[in-house]
Amino acid sequence: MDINTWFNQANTYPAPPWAFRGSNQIAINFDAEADAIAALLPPGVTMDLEPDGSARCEIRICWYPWSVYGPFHECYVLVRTRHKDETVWFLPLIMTDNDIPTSCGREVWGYAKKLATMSWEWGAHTGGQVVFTMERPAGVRLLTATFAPHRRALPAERVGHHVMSHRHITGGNGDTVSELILVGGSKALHVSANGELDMWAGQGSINVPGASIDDPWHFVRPTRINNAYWMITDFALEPGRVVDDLTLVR
Amino acid sequence: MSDSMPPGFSMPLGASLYPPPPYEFRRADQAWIQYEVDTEAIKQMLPPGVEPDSDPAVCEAWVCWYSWSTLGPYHEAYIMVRVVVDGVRYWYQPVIFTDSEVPLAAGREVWGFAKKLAVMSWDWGGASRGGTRNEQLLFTVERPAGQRIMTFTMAPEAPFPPSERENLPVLSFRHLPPSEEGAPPAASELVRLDVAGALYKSADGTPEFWTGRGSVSFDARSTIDPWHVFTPTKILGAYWTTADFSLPLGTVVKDYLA
Repeated sequence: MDINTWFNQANTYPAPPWAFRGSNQIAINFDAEADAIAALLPPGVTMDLEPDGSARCEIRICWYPWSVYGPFHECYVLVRTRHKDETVWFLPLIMTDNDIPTSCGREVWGYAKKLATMSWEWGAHTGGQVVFTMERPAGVRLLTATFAPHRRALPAERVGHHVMSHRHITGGNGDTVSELILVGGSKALHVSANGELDMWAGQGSINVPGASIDDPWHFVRPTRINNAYWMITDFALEPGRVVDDLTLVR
Repeated sequence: MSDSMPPGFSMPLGASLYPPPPYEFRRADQAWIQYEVDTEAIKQMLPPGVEPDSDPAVCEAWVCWYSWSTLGPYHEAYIMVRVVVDGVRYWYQPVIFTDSEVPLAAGREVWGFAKKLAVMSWDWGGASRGGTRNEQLLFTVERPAGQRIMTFTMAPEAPFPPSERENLPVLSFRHLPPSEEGAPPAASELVRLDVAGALYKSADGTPEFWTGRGSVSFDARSTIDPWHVFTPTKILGAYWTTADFSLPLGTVVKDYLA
């Protein structure tokens, strides 16, 4: 019997690809102090700093109303880094509010997800802004982010890099899997009824008020906001590509 | 460039979700019902090489309230099947729910306990659900909230001699999917866990180990959470303990990738 076939019984998550529909993602690009963030990078990954020594970062806030994991919110940090000769977005911190993408994300790619309490609000009471909050545990605010859409945008306005994560799991006899993974997948922007892409540029804000050694989101406190975009997409997640085996480093 | 890992045991390194084992539990309440099941019905839930050690197969439905642990406070519910692998008998754990993310991730990643999050309640006497107080512990499992997966009751009646309990190691299936298409899984193995613990004692020195009557029903018929395949055909006993224990790393007893 093929162990992968047998494993389909009562699975926590299905086999890839993992499909998403109507996904709302807002990316707020900013600069931050580099020193604290550097402590979250694994061996072989170095900061790709701005000329003034700042770290270039992005926080993405997400509301996924439909996916094969069910609906969920997500929020993660990307840090522009170098690995070997490539510029990559390294992903050190990520939260979600659904256990299925938590387990799948941690186990397949090493997305270091924790569960948090999150809200995405966009209504008459939010003053023309999306208001996203994240607390962990409930009552301890880790992040407040807002975004106001101002104009249509095009994908070419954004600088893209591969996203890299670090799958690091110890178990069984105490053996560790420790590898750097470049994430794969495909994404398509929604098209509105008038044929325009559902991508918007606007103004964003980020507030990371805490100072926690459990959840050090204050490491990415912005010193300068660069740009912000809201995208509505369909996409599918797939397994990635291992680009470094760190198992022997520890 | 740093040549060492960020500190920590689990992801995210630098802000670990859980510490290294052992994981300590204090004043843990655990109740379970031992029963017989249809052997053919449960075979689909056993990995290759894991066989029931009897026919009819013997299972246990466990419900737990961990009021203090180094993984935080949480509830847990799981099924165990008494099995034999390469001549050694175990309690194999095919399905398990918890209601906290920390034991969820630690359980899945360290031992392969196939945990999902569910909504659970431990109710001693039934009053908190709007009923009258009575003699039964009531434990319910819903996933998602509103879909009842398991209903468990136990009425403690008499102390039970701990020496009459046959202690077997726990067995789980640890499977880490490949991170690249076409690559083998990162791990696919059976992991043995030996639990060291101590029962609390009452003021007269009697161990807090109770036997009594109980019930267990698996309400939903589901291919998402197929707990109903473990429906009892005959109840053998019901038990309740209060204990401290410690969970260490396991031991791999079968590697499916070898």
